[in-house]
Amino acid sequence: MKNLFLFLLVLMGLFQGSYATSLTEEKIWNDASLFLFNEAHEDLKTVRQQGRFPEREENYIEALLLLNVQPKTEENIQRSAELFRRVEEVKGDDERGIAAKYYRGRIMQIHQERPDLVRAEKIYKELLHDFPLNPISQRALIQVVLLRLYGNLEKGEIFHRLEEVEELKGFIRNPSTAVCYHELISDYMIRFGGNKEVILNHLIAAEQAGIHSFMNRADTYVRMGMIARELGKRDVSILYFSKFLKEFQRDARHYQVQMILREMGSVASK
Amino acid sequence: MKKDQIFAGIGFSLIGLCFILSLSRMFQRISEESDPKLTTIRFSHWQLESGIREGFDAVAQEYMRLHPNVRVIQEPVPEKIYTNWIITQLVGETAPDLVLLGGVTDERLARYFVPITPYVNQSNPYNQGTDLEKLPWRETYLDGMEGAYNPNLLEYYSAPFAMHVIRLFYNKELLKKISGRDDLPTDYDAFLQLCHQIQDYAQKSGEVVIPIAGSKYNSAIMVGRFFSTQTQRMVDRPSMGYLLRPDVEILTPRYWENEWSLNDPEIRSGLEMMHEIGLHMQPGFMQLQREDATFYFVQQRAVMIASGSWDRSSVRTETQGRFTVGVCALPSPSPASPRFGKYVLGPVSEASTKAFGGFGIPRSSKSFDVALDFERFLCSRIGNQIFVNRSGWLPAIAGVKIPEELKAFEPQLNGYPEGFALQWSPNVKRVVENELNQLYQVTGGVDRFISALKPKYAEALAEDSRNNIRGLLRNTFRMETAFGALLELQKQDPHDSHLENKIAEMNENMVMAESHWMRGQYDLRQAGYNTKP
Repeated sequence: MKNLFLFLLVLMGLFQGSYATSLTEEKIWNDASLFLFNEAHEDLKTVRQQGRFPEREENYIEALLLLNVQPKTEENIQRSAELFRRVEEVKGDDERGIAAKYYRGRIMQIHQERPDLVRAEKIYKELLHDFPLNPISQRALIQVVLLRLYGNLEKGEIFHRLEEVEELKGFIRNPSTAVCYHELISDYMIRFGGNKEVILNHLIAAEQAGIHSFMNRADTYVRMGMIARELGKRDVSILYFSKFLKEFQRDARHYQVQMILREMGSVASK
Repeated sequence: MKKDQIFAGIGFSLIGLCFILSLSRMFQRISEESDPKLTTIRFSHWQLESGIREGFDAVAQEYMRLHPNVRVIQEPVPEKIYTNWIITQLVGETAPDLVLLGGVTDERLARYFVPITPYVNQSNPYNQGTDLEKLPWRETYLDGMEGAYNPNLLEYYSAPFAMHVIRLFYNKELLKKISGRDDLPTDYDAFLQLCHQIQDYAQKSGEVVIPIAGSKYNSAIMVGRFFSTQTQRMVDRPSMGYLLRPDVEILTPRYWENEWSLNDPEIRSGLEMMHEIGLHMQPGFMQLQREDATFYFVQQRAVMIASGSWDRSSVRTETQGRFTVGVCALPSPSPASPRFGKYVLGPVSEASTKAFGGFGIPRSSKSFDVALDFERFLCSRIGNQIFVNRSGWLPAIAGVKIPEELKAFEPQLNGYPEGFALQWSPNVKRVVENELNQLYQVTGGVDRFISALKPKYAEALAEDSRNNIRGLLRNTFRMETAFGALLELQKQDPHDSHLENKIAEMNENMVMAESHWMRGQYDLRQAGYNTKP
């Protein structure tokens, strides 16, 4: 009986071992990309026992996963912040170091129980200043825009906030950041009111940078067509309404846009 | 032998018999599935409406004819237990190879199902020889497969196979007898006139017949559409965001800012229509269930019933031999209508009708390739045609011929988007439904309804807004890690264009979700509400 028990233990060990060696970093990232954070975290624990990943790499992966391991606890979030800090401590100016700093900012901004928006913004600005071309810094730029526009916003400050983000435009280095920047501002101005000409320019800039989300793209075309029409910019309106008609043939607004174009005397309505 | 012992003996024998039967079924299944020459795939669904199982069967038969080494087994499960059943099967890794998706959360989708995005971007081999053969599978869909896309997970998990629209079903003989008409009017005012005519007939003849069979379910389908014709023009106001469609995240703060109110003429007009229509349903219809309304209609105690095309086969089966069922689109007021035309843009478009259904393939499936292949067949032009012909449901695939008897269900493409309804989210829906009796009572009406609803409406909007922003924050959290993981995967394969697009799209979605979360907090604060529950 004792021998059988030992045999089973060995068998389980072998099975566990073969499972662990089949685990790769790719599997962990793949699970995490599919929102399977707990599974990815469990896999990381298994791999850790074997010491297959360098400590810094392990800390980085665990820190990122802990932001979403369920149940989400303040303890996990603080441990994540500590792990990111360690990653940054080893080397602050390589890819992992820059990303770790960015995520510390994110923890301060949205993950921890008591957000610290001032410190979060300071981190993002440092990243933007020290590594302006790094893609992570570009994400930091968008976070600054978000914080400037909406962070503890009060009614009297709406237009002042807009002026603050205008100056950040010069830091944009890639199309994806350009789309987000211009969409955020145009959406803000449409919600709170603002110069239509400026709104249209932001929408055009977002569209030209290449909007990937088809839902956002459809809405952007409609907004451009409508605002341009209101401004009396017939050609611009026809251009973007026509793009909408071509790309979104099964949208419920298709017929209405056709009718608007017909009213404007456009041949695109046919 | 005593009587008790005999009964006990019979009882044990029955249990034993059942056990043996189950055992033999199990062994039969195991032996069939262990046949190395035969691959068995199973698909489960809850579509027990008449004709649907036959439709699936016909597709499966044709597939098996094309692939003699494959056996396709259908497992219909009643709707009431489907979700629980499927969760148990998924957790136990015993789920069928294809699972009709419905009520599956994003978390479960990600955990238990394989994304089929790479395949929907390839052509469907079963479309060979047709004009669809070179198109990616998703572009062979009438809705461009938009209905199957999960915007949170940024993946496709299933391929839909049908489409549904809302229609009015009517008893042709009864309509003719009462009104002399063969079909229903398409204009709202003429429709209302017809309802009056039916009520007059019932009063004079003493026959128990009402114009419309109502229930909580069926009435909502109908009156919701009537109401939203009146808010079509409101959506086009510049303050509504220049979207030409209602957006809850704009409508809600605009209500708190008094940009619109329950007393606006458009809203009152929509409520007036609801009140009028409600008076032509059976008393107390809001307390009745869907089955009760169908029963009224089948028993020829109602001339009309509103429902979806999914009920077509069942209605036809239940009324066969009793009366002929006619089908038509819901009437709507034309812009020229003196009473309700003022706020209308035109007929409501069904262009955005999304394809319905779609089987997900669980990660536990041992026959992923065959399951995917069967799904490709079902959602090819030829497979979908077989399904449509037998099921009586509308096709999801472009170029599938709609049988003559389904012509009335063909989506109306030339029309305008619906306006907004009063109840677009759970708490708002609850407070509106709680007060609807004030609107539908003979002694009630629009004023009484608004007076009862108004004190609760803004608070209910706040409650739903809080839930909405909580969801946005949760999504932002989740996308944070997922996005980081995608960037790591991209390092391993920098030329993967699918990954590149997914990263760009997730970045946009993440930023917009976060901005809407922050703006939602501002809106709640400005309206004087807490941002947390």
